[in-house]
Amino acid sequence: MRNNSSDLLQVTYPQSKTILRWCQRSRNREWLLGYLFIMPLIVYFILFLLYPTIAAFIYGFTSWNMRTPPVWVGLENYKKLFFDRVAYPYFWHSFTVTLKYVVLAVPTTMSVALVIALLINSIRRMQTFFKVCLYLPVITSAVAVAAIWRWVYDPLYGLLNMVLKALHIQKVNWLGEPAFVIPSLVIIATWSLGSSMLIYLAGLKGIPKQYYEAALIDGVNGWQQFRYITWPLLQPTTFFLLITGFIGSFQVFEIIYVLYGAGGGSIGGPRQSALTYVLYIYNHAFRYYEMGTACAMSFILFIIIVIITIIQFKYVRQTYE
Amino acid sequence: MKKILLWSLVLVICISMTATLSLAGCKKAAEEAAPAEEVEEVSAEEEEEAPVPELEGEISFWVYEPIPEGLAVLDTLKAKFEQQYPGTTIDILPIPKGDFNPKLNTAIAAGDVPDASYLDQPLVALFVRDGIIDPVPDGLINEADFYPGALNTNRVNDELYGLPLSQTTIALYYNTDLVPTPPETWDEMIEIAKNVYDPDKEIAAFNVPQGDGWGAWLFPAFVATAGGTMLDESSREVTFAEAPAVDALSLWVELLKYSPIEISTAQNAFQTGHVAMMISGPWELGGLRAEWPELNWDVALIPKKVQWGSNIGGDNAVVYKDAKNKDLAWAWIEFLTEDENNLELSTTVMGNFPINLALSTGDWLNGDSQLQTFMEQMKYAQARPTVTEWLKINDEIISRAIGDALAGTKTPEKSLIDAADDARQILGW
Repeated sequence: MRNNSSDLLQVTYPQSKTILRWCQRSRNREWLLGYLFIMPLIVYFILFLLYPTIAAFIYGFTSWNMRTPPVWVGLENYKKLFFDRVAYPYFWHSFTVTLKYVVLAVPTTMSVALVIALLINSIRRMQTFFKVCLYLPVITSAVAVAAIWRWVYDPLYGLLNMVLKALHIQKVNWLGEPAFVIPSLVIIATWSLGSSMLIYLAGLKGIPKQYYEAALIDGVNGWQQFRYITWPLLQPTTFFLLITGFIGSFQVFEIIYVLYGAGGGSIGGPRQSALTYVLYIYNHAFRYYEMGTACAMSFILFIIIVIITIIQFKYVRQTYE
Repeated sequence: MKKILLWSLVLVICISMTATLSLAGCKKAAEEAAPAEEVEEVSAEEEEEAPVPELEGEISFWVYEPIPEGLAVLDTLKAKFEQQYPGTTIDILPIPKGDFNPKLNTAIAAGDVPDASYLDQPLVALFVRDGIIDPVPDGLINEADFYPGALNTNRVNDELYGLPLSQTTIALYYNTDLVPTPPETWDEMIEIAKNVYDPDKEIAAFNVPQGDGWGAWLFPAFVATAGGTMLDESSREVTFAEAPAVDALSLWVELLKYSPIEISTAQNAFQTGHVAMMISGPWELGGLRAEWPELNWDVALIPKKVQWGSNIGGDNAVVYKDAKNKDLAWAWIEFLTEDENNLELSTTVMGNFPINLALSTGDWLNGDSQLQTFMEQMKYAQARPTVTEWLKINDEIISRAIGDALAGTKTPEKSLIDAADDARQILGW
């Protein structure tokens, strides 16, 4: 069959014989097949990730309200963002708010996820049940999450305040008092620790049992087990969660957007205490129609996240010795 | 044999995926081209009293997603229009209100505009400046039929660029158990607030607006009752740092003493009887009547200092410059402003009030004193400034001034003076 086809092709298209022979070589075939398999992903990457990123970088140098063609302004946007406190009064403020959130949310979520992973790993029977329950918050829509937590945090009728009242502690205006807003958001973030927990569980399962058995023979207690076996061997997992946690938390947006009133003058809660960086970008892009500024801001965020990630790669231990 | 099959399968999958991804963009453009071919010749603009003119084709009309009853009304109106002009199709697309403006902007950026749509009042001036919408054709409407305030929110440089579909305003809701007679002046309001405030029973006097976009939107209503304005566009002066605005902000600071935010920011605080008075619009009426029958409440005009005043809000309808069937679009919009149609549209579908003067009195108002109060308040409602940067000034400057004053970090006068300086810098005045 092969001979027939190649003869036919040779008669009609002599060049194709060379191509066909090239393709028939298995080394080339594997190479070609590999590229064909990843081509959809490459196309997706170029169309939906690379091209928009480059476009956003270029639009960051323009002034564009999306209805009329963009106008080139060079570094104006960046200059105004960094130095003009009248045009962009909340730029540094939003950055501080985001930083506060990240510094609180990431370690809290990771440590609670680790504790829960250790607990789940230690039980024998209902592991799947707990895993499912604790993962549900991750897949719940942000609108539903916001509705529930707005009730939990309600200053008069909320669940938390009812508990505080029963304990004779003064009620707290969780979402209304500027000082309590970020901690409240961190609690919501910790509540959705499902994915970190699953990754820690996977990491825990990767620790060979022999280490624990050897330790038992040497007579170590629980805490020493954790300190000298579990924690060091979880180092790669911890490192991964730290990096991704930081990257994700810097871009927190959804929960704040729906919690504080989507699409209608949501400037980040009481005294802008929840005005995170991405919410600020969103307002400029879709409320004030300053797309150029929004693109510039998102690029600044990109640079900051890259810098922080590089710092983490340099100074955080990636594996145990 | 198997290898050839595997190869061809992989090739087919990859090519189809690539094709789908890259043609996704082109597909929409192709779809847009198709309806354009359906459009046949259309007549000149139709007059209100003209006999059935030659209108044909299809238009797309974007609306805010209404409650289910509203969708039914929209369908009835669409059927009525299509029956009046056979051969026409109105393609109504409901979009949730929060997503409407971003979606519209994206569509404009993509060159994929609908023929006509709702448009929030303050956006009309922006769209005109960007050259995206068309002026109202001559002879389409009789201007005297409309409420001048609502009609004028469409007027840019002395020309009309859209027709109002509904208007709304805000007034004072009060709990009749806690407040038997509503306040008419600011002083009365403060007196009532002092009497009503009860920290033990967790009762706050007034839902004092906070330093956010919504509060900044409500602020001009109180400034109007003190006889002031926010901006004077003709003389390019920022007026919200003058005495009336300072007084308005001081009123809020005073009322805040009797209205702790721990109470007023609870969910449904007014509906559950924890807040005695609040400012809101007619969109609350439906919910209050249907879901809170045990609450005793009523509506009154916003208390005045020197005059009655309020904000005007609402939505207009515009036709885009790139629309394919403009005559049909204008005919449809004009149809929506006619008496009976507008009544149904503005009240049931949009939750606001009609813009047709013929409906200022009528059976639909009979016996509904609360609606009549709103109609009364509408007479004193003032429009927002139409400068391009107003939304940003609203969100970042005025709301910050309100926030500073309410938090006590600055006096009302200082916070407004600082805000006015910032506003002048942004506006370039």
